[in-house]
Amino acid sequence: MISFKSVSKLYGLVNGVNDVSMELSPGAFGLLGPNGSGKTTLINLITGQLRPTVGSVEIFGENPWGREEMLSQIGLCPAVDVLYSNVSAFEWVNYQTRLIGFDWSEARERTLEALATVGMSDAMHRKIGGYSLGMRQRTKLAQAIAHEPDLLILDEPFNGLDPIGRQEMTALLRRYLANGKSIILASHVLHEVEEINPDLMLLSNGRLLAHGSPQEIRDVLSNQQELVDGNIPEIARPGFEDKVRITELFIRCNDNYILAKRLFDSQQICSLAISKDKTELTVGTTSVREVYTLLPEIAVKENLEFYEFRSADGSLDDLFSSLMKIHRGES
Amino acid sequence: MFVRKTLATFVFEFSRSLTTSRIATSLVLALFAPVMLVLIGFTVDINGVRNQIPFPLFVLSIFHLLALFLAVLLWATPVVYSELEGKTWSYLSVRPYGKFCSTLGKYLNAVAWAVLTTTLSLTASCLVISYFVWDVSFFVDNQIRPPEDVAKQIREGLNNANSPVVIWYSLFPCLILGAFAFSAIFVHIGLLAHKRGMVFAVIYGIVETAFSFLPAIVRQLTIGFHLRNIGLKTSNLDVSALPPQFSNILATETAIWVHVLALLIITAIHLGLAIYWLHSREYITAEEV
Repeated sequence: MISFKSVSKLYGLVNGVNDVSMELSPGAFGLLGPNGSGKTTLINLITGQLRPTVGSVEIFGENPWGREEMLSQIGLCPAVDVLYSNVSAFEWVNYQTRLIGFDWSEARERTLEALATVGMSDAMHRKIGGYSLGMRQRTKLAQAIAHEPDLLILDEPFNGLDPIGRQEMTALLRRYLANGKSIILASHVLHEVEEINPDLMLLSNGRLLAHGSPQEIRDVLSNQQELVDGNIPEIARPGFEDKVRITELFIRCNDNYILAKRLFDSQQICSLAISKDKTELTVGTTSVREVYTLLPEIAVKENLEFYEFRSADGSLDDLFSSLMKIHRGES
Repeated sequence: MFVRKTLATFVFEFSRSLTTSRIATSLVLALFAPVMLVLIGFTVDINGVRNQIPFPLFVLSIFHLLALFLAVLLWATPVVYSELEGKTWSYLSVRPYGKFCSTLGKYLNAVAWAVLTTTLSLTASCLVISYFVWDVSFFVDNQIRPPEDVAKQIREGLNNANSPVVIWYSLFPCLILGAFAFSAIFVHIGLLAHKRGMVFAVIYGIVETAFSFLPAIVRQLTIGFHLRNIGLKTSNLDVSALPPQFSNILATETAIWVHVLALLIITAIHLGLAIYWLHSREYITAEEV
């Protein structure tokens, strides 16, 4: 569906995207990176608004630059706000839909349907200037999905949405995916992207640091074991007492003691610690994959209920710093 | 489909532009000429004689050319820059031919506002003129001082051209053609230099006005020259009776359709170049970088 071959994009002396190569098949993709990492440049290259300085881009088998017809297969919900304050959501989405090429009546039908899908039917005849940020986000999404594109690109779609709005947005995106469409979701917040279970593309300073499923990226990280200082575990396997390279996982379940006991049987577990309030188990391991394999087995065998599972490097900052270390050859 | 999208943009932009500020600006531009005429018509000189405008056709041509110029400067030049500045360009540019159709639709909107404004101004000005009696003999006898038989011919011509109805139907087509041509040039300038579009458009306006009065080939590339010839010919004003220093600068013997065709070609060339730039250049906002 999308092919980047050694693509670089320069804005004068500023490097927007630097030597990016990737092949994306239809599906869900999370484009992750801090602000200024090149996410929007990458999106603009995909939508043909920018021409690569070096390399080649192909979308649906074609170079998107100057291929106007191809744009009807793409829906873009940019990060920038809707700033036509004196028109209603209906007028604006209807206009955007007409620009796709639909006649008046079909554009109207699709506009009403899209606005209903994002839950804007009641407010659609009010002026956009009076909308909350969340309502404007939903209006932006409506213009992107009204023509039912094969590829939906969303740049920071969760900005301004309250928790219910986020949940609704996630459900909507999942439904969209279930209909066989593809989504690229750009964000700087990992857990927002993870909601739709996409393959991840991690960008930093215009470079593609990692590309693959969350599992593949976690494996890359777990193989590059982190050095953890000063976190002496309560229970430590002989041979792991000193400073060791481990990955920490935090688990909450209905019986942390049973879980700890079962995990301790594994040779890959190097430390186990239960919090003072006994609600959380911290697991130090040299193989995250081993823990992933063990947990379902233990859960079934011991009839355990899991409430939370996260890794110490679950935050995007940690993830990026780990990947940057790998990228620089520091670990 | 191209036409449908362009018209969709025009309808959307026209309804969006019906704002208090836009209407107020339009009214200020529209009332400029008639208010000036009223002020001139009601004032008297030091001898107690009421001021005369001996040549309302020319005076109104200048007033309305200025109003037209300002209208298209305000509304045609920033068609793309306003979208880039408002960060709404990315919505338009991901539609098939959205960049082109939205620019052309916004161009038509600028033309519509310019035509509405200047037509209102022209109509009001003609009503003002119909209220006053204009004496052409003063101008002919004291400024031009031709032989008596020529003076008679000029007086008759000017009296005919000074009729409000003649002024209206002479200037109206000029305003329409001028709105299309100037808007096309200003949209083109706005695309070439979108951050300094207005500055370059004003410079262009000054240069174009100067060139249009040069008795040289270069004036045929100007819009003002063709508009002036169309206005003079539709008013049946025979400038050949004027002394050569006036007549050579004002008009040529070329048929009216040639001037109309020239304006249409200028319009088409500039719109074509505007579309070419839209196709070949990257227009992005700073935030997208």
